[in-house]
Amino acid sequence: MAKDKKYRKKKLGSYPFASVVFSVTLALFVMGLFGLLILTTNNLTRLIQENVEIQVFLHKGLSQNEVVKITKILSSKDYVLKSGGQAQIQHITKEEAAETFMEETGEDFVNFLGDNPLRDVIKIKVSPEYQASQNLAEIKKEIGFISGVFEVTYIENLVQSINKNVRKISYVLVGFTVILLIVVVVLINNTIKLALFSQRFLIRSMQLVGATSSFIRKPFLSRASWFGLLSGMLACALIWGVLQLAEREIEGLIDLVRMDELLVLTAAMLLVGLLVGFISTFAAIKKYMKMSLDELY
Amino acid sequence: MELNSRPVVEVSETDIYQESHTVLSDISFKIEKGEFVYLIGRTGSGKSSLLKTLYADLAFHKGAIEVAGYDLTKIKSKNIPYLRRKIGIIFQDFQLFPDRTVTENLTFVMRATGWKDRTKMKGRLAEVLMRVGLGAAAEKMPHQLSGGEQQRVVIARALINEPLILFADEPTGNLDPEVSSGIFGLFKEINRSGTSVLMATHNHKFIEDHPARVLKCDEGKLLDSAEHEFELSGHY
Repeated sequence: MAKDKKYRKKKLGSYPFASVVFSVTLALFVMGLFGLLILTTNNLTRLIQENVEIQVFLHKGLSQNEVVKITKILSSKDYVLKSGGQAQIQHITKEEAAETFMEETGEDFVNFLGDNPLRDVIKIKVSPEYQASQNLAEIKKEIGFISGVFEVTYIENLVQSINKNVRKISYVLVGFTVILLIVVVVLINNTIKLALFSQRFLIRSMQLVGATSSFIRKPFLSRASWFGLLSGMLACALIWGVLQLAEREIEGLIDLVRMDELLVLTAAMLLVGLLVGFISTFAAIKKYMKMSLDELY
Repeated sequence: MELNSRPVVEVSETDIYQESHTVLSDISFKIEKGEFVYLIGRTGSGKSSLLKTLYADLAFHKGAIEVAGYDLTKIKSKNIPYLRRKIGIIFQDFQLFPDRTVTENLTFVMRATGWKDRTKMKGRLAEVLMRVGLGAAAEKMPHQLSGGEQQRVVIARALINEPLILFADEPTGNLDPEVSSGIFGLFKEINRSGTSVLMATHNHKFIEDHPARVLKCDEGKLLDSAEHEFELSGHY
């Protein structure tokens, strides 16, 4: 009996539970999916950008000391990508280059020509912030002045097209996310407003017996916040599920999603669920509390 | 202390509005402690609007109104709940929680209006239920009660905080004559114990059987039987 009573009391401030949670979960899920897309795109971009290289060809016949000196000069430059404090620079001797070439082509051209026409090369990975075309051109010029450097090359078009597309994709994704966020908020807000419509006369009755506004709001708000949070949790579970499924289909996908970012996304979804539930309910109740009886009908 | 000697309701030179238009203009009256007053008038003459204005549900722009010690000219919205605890409001559409028993309905109102002590709550609950003659229905759900019994629960609910005055808008509107007279008897009884009553009604039989002061809304004016003689009968 006591349990029964408790259950009934809980019903104050209640509304169609399943439909609200379902709608909010769906809205949050779509939002989360978009968030995931942005994260993956960002990380993919970073991965590509980290592999933008400049190749520095050296003059033939340089001594070991001269090569080390050039490598040292290059390592100290800001535009060289640092990973774990290590400058991402690789020196490939002309012998190594010839070996790789022979492995790839299967032709022993050194023997055929009687000489190795290749040069020593230093490969530099460029920091993303120096990857604008203008920067790369300046870097190319600067390295060209170092004595012992024969030629500096990079794949100009690739860098340009990456930069252009990344910017485009970012704009589109951010735009979509903003629109989606608005849609989600409006959708959740409407669902809750509709659900509370059935409770408007009870709100009215409570006002007339002299209940304070905060007393009237409390059960509605706590319930709506809980529903929002629950929807957030369900949506997060769905996102994790989708991720697991996608990983099985697309190998390496999970490497593109960093755990800390995924946790931030999860927290954001829970927070949006909670806040939208709370704020929409607050606004809807406030509206009903201000209405006269005639308006309520 | 001062409250005891002052009228429970005091309206002076006030206009009553229904949405944007005036339904009663320049009205003044007082209701003393323990008085029983009928409020009559055709449908749309401003009875309900007057009652709503008195319990701070409708705004007014002119004159002054004081109810149960609260000056409605200056009352802040956060104080309105405390005003309503000093008055009892009863009308037909006033809902009970359909998913709670009579006891739960009443204890909810007690908690909503600041009651904390469980023993005191229990005592007061039994008291108001006995008073409206529903001692045996405490554990029933509203749908298990007749219309008259439901109205008694609503009256019990209005009595919980020992109001200075009851505002009743057609409290017997959709009840059959026999049940109506029972409910009316209850109002008279409550009034005898010192609570003022302002009752809007179309039921002339009550006025004939139990004569008391009458306020009549008539063509934008409020006529008071304590000051003028006027025709009670008419088509409402």
